[in-house]
Amino acid sequence: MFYRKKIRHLTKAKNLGKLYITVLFILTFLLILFNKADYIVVKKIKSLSTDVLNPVSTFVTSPVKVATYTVNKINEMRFLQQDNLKLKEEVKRLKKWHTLAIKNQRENNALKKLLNSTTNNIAIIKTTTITSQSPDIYAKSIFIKAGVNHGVLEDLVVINERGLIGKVISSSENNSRVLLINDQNSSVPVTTMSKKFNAIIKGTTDGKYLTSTFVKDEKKPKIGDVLLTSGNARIFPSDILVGKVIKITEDGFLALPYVDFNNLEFVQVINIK
Amino acid sequence: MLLSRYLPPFTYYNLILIILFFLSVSSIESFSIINSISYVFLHFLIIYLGIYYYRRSLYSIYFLYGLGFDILLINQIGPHLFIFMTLLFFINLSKKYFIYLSSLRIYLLILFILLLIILLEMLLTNFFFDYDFNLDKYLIFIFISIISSYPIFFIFSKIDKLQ
Repeated sequence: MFYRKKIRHLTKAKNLGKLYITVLFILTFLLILFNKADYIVVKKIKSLSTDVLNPVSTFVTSPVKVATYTVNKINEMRFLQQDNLKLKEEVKRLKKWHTLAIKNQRENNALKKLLNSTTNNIAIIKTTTITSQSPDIYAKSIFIKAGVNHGVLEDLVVINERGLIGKVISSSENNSRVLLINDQNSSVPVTTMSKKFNAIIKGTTDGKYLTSTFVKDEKKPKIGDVLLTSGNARIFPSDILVGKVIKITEDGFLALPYVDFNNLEFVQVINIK
Repeated sequence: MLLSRYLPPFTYYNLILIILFFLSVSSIESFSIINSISYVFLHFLIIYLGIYYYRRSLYSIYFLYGLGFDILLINQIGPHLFIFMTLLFFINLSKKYFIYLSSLRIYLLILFILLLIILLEMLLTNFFFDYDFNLDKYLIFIFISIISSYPIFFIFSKIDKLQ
């Protein structure tokens, strides 16, 4: 009798509505709690939403992207002649460098054979394109068109022809999310060419620069020093270009990343051999 | 409008929400301000719907948008989801007092709530997920909100009349 009354009470439209809102609030708090606890359900939700929302996002934003692309192309057309002259000069300069590079490559290969060295410490997992990039409101991340099906797993490193891009933080079947090195929550152990200096860097608030969070033995780099991954803790392979020191501060230094994060197109997912 | 015979304003608002959501979460190179503009517009619409189109289904709509924003913008769950759900709850509680306010006061109130919730979202993100409070970004949001508030409400009033 009591249960029947209770069921009747619950099934009244008003009470059902209240129950529905309560359930949503409980779900909200559970999700927040599970997220802080790094629970597996939250990871599943994240990867599922990446898989579902990415294609929709690409479709919905495509008219705006096409419009901005067209406007940019029209703007570029205005400077076509000047660009052509610049490119001709650059081709001449690059031809000289090309000859020199071939010579150096041969010399390098010969020396490597003599030393019996195995310097290549990276294994390429997948070369892929970027599907979308998060705006610079909070986290700095990109979505790439490769996932677990292509061997792309969490914690793998992502690079391009210019240097280090970031690290895979979540991957679904066909998509992955990469946290860029200019994000405030990234952490990259770096060193200089001389290997005498070690530090850990992260992104600044605006994401334009990299700033040091820890400097070993409080040593100071010089302005213009090239920063490479140190390979410490085996998170990132060693000797990948990261950035250039542009400012020395009291607490550490500021560096400019080599990678242009606004013009990313192709990336490579790599692993340490 | 031809479609006005078939679709109620709430449906139009939902279509606008979807477009604004995807424009906010996907970066468009060389026109990145569109992300901030869409982000502010979506927040305007969220508050507007809460005040003028309150219904229970809004809780699930806010839940999905909050979750979507958190996952796509922060890769964590919390600030947007919590703020959106709490906002609707408080709007529902204080709705009865809104009827005594003039249109100008409601306009200013929506603007104030918008700036407050964006501020709270940024503070919560800073507190829970170590993303520094970006004052420059917040000032951009304030600027966009103030500049665009009047045209937005003008458009909203036109959509309201579609029914």
